Amino acid sequence: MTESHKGWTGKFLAVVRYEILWNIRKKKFLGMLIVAFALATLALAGGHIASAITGEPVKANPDFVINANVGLGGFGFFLFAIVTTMNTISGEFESGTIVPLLAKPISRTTVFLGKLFAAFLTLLATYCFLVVYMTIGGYAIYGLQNNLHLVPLSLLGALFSTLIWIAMVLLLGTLSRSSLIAALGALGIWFGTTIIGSIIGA
Amino acid sequence: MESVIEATGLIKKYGSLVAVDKLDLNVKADTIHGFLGPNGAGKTTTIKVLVGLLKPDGGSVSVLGQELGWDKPDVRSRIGYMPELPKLPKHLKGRELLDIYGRMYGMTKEERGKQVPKLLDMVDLRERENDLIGQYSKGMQQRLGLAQALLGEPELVILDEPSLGLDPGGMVEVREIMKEMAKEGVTIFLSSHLLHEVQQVCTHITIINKGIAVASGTLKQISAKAKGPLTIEAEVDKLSKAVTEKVKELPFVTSVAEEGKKLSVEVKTRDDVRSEVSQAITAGGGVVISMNLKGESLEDIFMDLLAKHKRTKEVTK
Repeated sequence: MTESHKGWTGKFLAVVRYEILWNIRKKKFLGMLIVAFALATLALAGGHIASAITGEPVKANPDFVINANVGLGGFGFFLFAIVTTMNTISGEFESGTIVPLLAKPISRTTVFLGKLFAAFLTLLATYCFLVVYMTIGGYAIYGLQNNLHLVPLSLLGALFSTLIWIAMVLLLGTLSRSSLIAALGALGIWFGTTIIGSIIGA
Repeated sequence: MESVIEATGLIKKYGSLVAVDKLDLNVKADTIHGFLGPNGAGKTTTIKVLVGLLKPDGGSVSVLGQELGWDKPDVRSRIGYMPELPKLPKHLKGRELLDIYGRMYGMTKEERGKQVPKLLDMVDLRERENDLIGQYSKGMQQRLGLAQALLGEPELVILDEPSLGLDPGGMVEVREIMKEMAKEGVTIFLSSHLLHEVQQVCTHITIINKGIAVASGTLKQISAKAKGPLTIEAEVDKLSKAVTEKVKELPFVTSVAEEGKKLSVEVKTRDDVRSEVSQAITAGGGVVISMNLKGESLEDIFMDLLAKHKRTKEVTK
């Protein structure tokens, strides 16, 4: 890589812009966002639904927000990351758009880092939106909440674990040049590490 | 004249298949250099090596005086490249794409603000600049592909089949753009299947077959290399034996055949000797209605050189 520092920042930001515009215009991403929003709404409305069925008033749940956020930070956020990034690089190979991109005066490392950062920003915005929605909704429906100070920390934890997963998806996509292998590979590794982690934990 | 592209003994393999086999290529500055060859000759592979998309397996390549290595973005800032049937990101709008690519060239906001509309005007896409590329027709995507190759005022523009998918009007426009760029001192390396296009715009030509350069030089130099027989076909009124005899007397004529009003004269020289043949016909009492030189067009030369190369390969085997 022989790009000057000043030039590098501009080129890096160009890749970030290129990628964010792609992410937010992806039908898959928009679909996933709608599903996530619907699921979060369903989780929030769970108390009212149960109340309507049983006829009992909605019970206060001071741990709703922290439990919901920890739940989201697990498989939910992981799936979101996979859907957002599975074709970030491999999709460019599959469609052929990688050719004009790599012919530009920009190093492959910059392209990779720019795409990684753009995916991170996209997921950060999405997670923040979902977490804020769940927190306000939980507070409004289930009353005062415990451990609210841990919510930003759980968001940060989810983001960093996601970063590792998106880096893995991008790497698999770059090596295999296939979106399917990138997604299934990351999913396999996730299940593998989860199972091994549970066994060791037990 | 300074060399803009210099490849010596360039080799590129895909597994056991040798796509480019010790190719020597020399493209001089301020020329429009045509790169011709049949399908699978190694043209696109060579171009991908020149723009740094593929790593060569052997030989040396320098572009604009710099040795090509893996991932050297600085060299690419002086090169514009239009791939064959360019695949552009469909999620971006035409103007957005040029703006983002412009940033990748390190262009300032002001530079992009001037150049992007100018390029969109040039390829006649100004009215559709805010539409997603996915909504563009193939021809429009091709024109946008050309515009992105001209971003950042490159010194060398490499075009891989720029007229593919364009309507006749679009093809003429592309030719005019190439001529205009050449006037501004831009070197153009043009790979094309359209021999008449190459003949019309190129000052120099390299013909490649099975990864090997078969001939390189100006059209006249290449024509001399072809060495195939040149035939003059004339339509003659009052065609008689006397006319045929007069034509046969010319020192450069190897054979004469007549069929109705048509006279085919095979000559051993590659000089244009139509006036001499015409004079001989008139001297024999004939009247020339029309006269064509067959074997002089780039298509004839191209076919002749490829046939010659095939024969040489067979003999070598």
